[in-house]
Amino acid sequence: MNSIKKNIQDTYTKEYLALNKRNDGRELMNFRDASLNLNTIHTADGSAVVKIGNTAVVCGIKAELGVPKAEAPDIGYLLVNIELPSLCSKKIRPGIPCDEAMQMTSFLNEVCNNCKILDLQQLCISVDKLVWVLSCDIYCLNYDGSVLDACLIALLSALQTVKIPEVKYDKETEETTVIENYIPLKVNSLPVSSTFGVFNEKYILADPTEEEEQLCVSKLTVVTNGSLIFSLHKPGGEFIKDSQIQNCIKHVNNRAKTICQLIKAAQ
Amino acid sequence: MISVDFNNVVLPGNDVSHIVLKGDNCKRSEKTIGPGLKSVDNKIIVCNGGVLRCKDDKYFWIEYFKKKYIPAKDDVVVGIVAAKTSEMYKVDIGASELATLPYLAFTNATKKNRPDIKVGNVVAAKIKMATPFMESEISCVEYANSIIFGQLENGFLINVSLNYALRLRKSNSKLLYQLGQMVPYEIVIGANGKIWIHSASIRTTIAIGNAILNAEHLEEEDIPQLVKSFNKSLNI
Amino acid sequence: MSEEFLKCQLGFLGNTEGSAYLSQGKSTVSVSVVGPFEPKASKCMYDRATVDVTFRRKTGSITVHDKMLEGIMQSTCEKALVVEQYPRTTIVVTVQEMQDRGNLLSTCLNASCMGLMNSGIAMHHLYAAVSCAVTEKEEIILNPDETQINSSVAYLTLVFANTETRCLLTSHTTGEFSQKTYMDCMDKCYAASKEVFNFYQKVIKKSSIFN
Repeated sequence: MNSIKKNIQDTYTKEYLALNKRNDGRELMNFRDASLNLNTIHTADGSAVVKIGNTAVVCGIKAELGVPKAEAPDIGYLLVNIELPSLCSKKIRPGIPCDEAMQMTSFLNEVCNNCKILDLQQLCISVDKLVWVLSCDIYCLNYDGSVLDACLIALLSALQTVKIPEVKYDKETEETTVIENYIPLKVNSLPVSSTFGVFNEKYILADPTEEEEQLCVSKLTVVTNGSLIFSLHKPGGEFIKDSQIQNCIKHVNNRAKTICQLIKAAQ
Repeated sequence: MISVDFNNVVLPGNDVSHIVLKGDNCKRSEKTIGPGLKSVDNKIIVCNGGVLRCKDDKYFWIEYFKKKYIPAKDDVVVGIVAAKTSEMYKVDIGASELATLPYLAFTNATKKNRPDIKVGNVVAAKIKMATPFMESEISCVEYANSIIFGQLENGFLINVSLNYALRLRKSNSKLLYQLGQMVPYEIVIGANGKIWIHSASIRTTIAIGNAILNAEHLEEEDIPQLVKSFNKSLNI
Repeated sequence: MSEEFLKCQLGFLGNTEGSAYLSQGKSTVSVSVVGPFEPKASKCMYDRATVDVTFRRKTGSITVHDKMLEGIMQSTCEKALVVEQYPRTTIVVTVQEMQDRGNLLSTCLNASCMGLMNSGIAMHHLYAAVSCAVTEKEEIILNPDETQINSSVAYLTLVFANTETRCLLTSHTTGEFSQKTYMDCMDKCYAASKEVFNFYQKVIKKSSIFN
């Protein structure tokens, strides 16, 4: 966005932010409604489509067999990858993955490690020989802000739909036999991520749309399950005061409850 | 509040309004802030880490280390001609962009009588126009009792940091004076840190250049020693 | 934070506008700052400078995780610089890992701050990054070493600016913690950041050739 357009929008935005109103009618700390649809992709082992406002992401999980790492022979893999294709937003150019997608992928992988989303030992079939590899691919269909929040919801709900068959592994003949006895995955915790846009030192907007993200100088992402915080990520940008952080965490905890209910209700 | 005084080290973000604006209210409008200071919401904030300096209780600035030249109006600079177009030369003065030097910006130049300077030659010029939003424009037009501008022939060009160049340009520079006692030489010190030196032989020119480069981090008292060894190197 | 913990050398690269070599404990990072110079037409912004931070591992190749660190450094540097003063230019900051023995992100951030200050580019404020680890007993260890990080339940890197009021600039966390722990960490890290600023002042005083 060029600076002249930004300047005009800034003054305009400031006026209605002072009235605790936003462009789309929400109040500053209101989140958009989220909706969830499970098992939409039949070729995947687990899938989910999540919409938050106009933001839409789809997550598909494929379970494959693989060899574990030598340093951790009894755990499987959970590989998360986010893709932002050029169809989801005009600012993303086709070609190599953009920096934002890479940063989001890295962040999501970190969150999965932090809150131990899955007990990775349940993915082990035979120690040091065979484990399950869960590759979770998340595609963004429409980029309208807070994509990361939608991605995490999609990942969690898709993981809960995954059913992996029991596999027998013969150590001597190295033969595998698949028994048609599907076991659902056990998901340990339900972390919920919420993004805030820091407009200036005075106003913080919850769940910003893409337009608002462009106007905001920085973003603050809090991942929590309602009591424990798994990540509080703020890469640079505008300063933020203690009271504002506490206020954000308070709203995130409320949001976490609603999202948890949503995920549980969908099953 | 951080207590800072003149000739003290200050860091970016420090608020120095209480020093700069002290004294009578009516005198505030006379105060001038220079490089490294900016005024935000009636406060004077430091932008560069360095030493706070003051002159006549009126002019305030920060002396800080910098190597990149940012053009300022009326600075005398030394540059290298980098390209030629039909209207002007493009001169590298060490700033973020090449500066323009129109063919007509020379003494006695006319449409017919063009200056003959080739790409790679060194020129001394004065900055006529400098804004961050446009290419800066330099000129070689000499006025009465101004210093001599235009092409610098032969000689040798060295680069030093901007602070050192400014120190050398002060008229009381001991080093340049003492070197002059040993051998006659010509020198042009640009505000952009480029120094052009010329003397009778290449040997002495290079020796002078090295002496100037070596003296950058020397104390005033050590300069006679340096000049002595410089004299020795001439006589080998 | 002891005297020996932070070490810094300024201007060790001759051909760049600014450079810094900073070690925090056993981790060492070097930073070079080039610019402001004329960018490619596609990157040129007519009302401000673009800031480009590249992070390099000593092995050369970088991972997805390093890309995220790069993003954090980029936005932290950009906020500190007075970008409006250098329109139509670009400032390139290269951060090179020399040795990583824990606290890499905070070392990189502090080194980049020193590098920018050495370059003479105008800045709004300085910033100081402090890392801390939370043990299982909820003890907070400032500037932990590698083993302490690995055995901790949470590891936080917080960045503060040298403004008069306490303001958080950047926060990056791993592991799980409660809100109270986070606030406690902020108190401790903020106190430690003051010492980092004192260290900055000392370094500038030492390198100041004008005294």
